[in-house]
Amino acid sequence: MKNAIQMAFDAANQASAVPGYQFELLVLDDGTATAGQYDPAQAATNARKMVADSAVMASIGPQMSGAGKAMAPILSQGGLATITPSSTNPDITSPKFAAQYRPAGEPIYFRTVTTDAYQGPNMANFLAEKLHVKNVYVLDDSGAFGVGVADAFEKEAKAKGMNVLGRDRLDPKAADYTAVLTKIKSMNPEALYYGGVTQAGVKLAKQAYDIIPKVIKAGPDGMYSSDLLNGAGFPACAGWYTSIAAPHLVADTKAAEFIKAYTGKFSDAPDDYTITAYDASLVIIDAVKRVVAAKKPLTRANVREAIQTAKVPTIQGVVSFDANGDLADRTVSVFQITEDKSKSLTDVSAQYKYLEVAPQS
Amino acid sequence: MLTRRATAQLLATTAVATALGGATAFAADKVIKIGVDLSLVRTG
Repeated sequence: MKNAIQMAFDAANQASAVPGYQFELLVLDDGTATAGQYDPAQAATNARKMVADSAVMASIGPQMSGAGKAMAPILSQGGLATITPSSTNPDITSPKFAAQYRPAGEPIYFRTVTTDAYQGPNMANFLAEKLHVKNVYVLDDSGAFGVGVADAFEKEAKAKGMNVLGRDRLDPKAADYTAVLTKIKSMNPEALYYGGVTQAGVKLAKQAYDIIPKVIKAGPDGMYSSDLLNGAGFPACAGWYTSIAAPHLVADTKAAEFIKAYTGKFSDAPDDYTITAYDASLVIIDAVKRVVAAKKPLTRANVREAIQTAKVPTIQGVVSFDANGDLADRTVSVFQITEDKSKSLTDVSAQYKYLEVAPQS
Repeated sequence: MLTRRATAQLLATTAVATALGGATAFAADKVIKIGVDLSLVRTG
């Protein structure tokens, strides 16, 4: 994502997209060695750093919803809009939680992906309608994202008539999940749904392959990652179904020029969330351009307002937001991990085979 | 607003900027900072 964001702003600077101005990125990492993944405390520190820098007019990120929940109140108080290319927990933008996540009032958290209000349920629909799953066991990884998406999945699974055999929570720092997997095995489920990211997901995939190899396994975009491929490897991760909260973009002809430029510069292959990050950059460039063109003061409030009213042609199509900052498009895509030995193990675009758009609720 | 044509131009310029190894800032330009928060520490 970082490379795609840098590419977009380099191009904008090169083209003088906003005459008289140059973009400069303040890149911060919310991951810590202690957490072993995203760290909400570090994310809050990063949000405070952005807010304290008066030259920062907007931001991109975070990747993870747990980080987003920590950042959103701080960004709100600082009047600083952000566009996340991948965090999907719906609470952050929901009016129900406005006092918590946007205490200053105006929506400041925008997304170039849809939310788990669609990602979780639509995967339940896929399992029910396409794979004809009748019973399922549900796990999450204790994180804000994992719990939320598993909750949403579970609710829709029940609504579709699936028997939810049970629900457990994994400690992402634990090494051994054999006890819960042995319990799940004794219930003989047709499917396992895991809401979470790869810190627990890699271990789960390895151990589930050993204990419940024939059970259908599915997860959200937290399991759509080179970290899973590299950490669990084949055959352990083979067959997993995963969703993303966006259209499948890298195979779209509209992405060809971007992919050519990206792969010409970087060694890794872009995935769909690389493109949603690039698209988030295009939206911010457009917003700043419109503020300057309208001869309005270049303030965070004016940039936020310009983002709110965006209708920007991007690789994924025209990006616009609803009144809460959520993406108007609600496409959820489904993939299955299928080994392609001709490509790199960690090439997400090669190892995750696109299946279809998940059925909408 | 970025028009479709402008978006296409921006994409094309990405290739040029990539070929040139990045952007060239003009001394008189003002700087607009954009914060970026990502999760770069990974374990797996």
